[in-house]
Amino acid sequence: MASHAHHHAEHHKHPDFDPDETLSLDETHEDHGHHATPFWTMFIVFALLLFLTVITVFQSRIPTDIMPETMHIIAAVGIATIKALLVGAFFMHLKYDKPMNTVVMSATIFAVILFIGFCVLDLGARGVVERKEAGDIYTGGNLKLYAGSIKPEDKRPNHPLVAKPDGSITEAARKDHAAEHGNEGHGDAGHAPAPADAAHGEAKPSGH
Amino acid sequence: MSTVPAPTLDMDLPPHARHVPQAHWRNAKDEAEAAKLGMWLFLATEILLFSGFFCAYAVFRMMYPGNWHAASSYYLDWRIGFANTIVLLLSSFTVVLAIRGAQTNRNWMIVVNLAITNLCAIFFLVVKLGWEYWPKIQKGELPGANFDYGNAQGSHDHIFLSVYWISTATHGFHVLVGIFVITWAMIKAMNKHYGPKHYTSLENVGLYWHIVDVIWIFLFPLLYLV
Repeated sequence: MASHAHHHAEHHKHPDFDPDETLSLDETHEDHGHHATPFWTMFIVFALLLFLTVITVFQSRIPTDIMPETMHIIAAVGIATIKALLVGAFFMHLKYDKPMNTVVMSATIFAVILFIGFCVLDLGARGVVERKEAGDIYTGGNLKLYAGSIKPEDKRPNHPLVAKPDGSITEAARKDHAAEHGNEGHGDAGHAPAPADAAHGEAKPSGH
Repeated sequence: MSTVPAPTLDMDLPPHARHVPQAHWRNAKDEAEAAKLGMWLFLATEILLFSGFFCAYAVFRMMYPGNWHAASSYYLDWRIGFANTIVLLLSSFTVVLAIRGAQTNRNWMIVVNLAITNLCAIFFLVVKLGWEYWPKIQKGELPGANFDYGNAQGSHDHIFLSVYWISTATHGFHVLVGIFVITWAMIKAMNKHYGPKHYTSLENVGLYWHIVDVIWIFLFPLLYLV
């Protein structure tokens, strides 16, 4: 009898493996509760998140002649990833949970990396692979594709879908604005003066 | 008349202490962990949903590299995004504290922290709608073929605005849903449904809110900064 009682007590140290176990109200299994969230750990994580947010703002202010735009994007995504890992591991308890939740999340992240990574690889390699075809791909897209979506009541004469199916939407908006307000178009109080289009616009598609 | 025996549960106990797992669960721990795993599977679909927008961002940015950063700083004010980021991080932290309140059996701590979380969420939406969406709608800084802003700075601003609108609007909708589920959790907390032994739905609401925060953690630098 005594040995049985002993055995029973041993059993209860491993509730995960006890097929008979049910929750009775007077049972006080400490490990039935979840891992109690430690306050200071979480506070430090919160402070770190705020700190990294400030860092990412400063990083974005580095001039592009010191840090090229591609590096800016990589750094911004890197800092965001660290922040996301902090939130996931601590705030979302992945660090304290059974690993299954982390497995689900890792598989998802893997799928996202495949998805975005291969799109980027494809687009980035178009100048390298099949050069002949690459010459025909130009930035800007062809608005003819969307010509079906224009509403008949849209009478704006400069709208690229009405007047000139190969035109730019922003250019059409600019012309509409000029037609309505005379030619003093540039100078909206809410924004900095518009930089010259040549500086920031795309290279004009060749052959169009 | 047959008499139903009085339940052995102590009805003086608050609901969370009276919680008994559904019959098909071995114990409350398994029940809670399964619910949480289900929540994580849902969060996986959420991440995949937003990954489409991030993919569109990557593709369009590669297609219009010169225009992108200029459009970002021309149409968006980073200070608005920064304020909203801080507010969302704070709201994530208060959700953590709410769960700690449940674990340590302090009901006021759950209610107060969820209230702060909701205030943060409302702040986020008010800033987004009032200081970003409404002026943009009035000026015609709209996505794609709806673009009607006279002072465009580049030739493909409408593409940037397409990515901006679809990703932030979908995120904003998630914030709105978050307000409802946090309010629901708050009502449950007020009725003492959360305690050290049982706070599964509070935890899942928290997980949802954290993923909304994580999405914004990526949207903020990509749209407003770089």
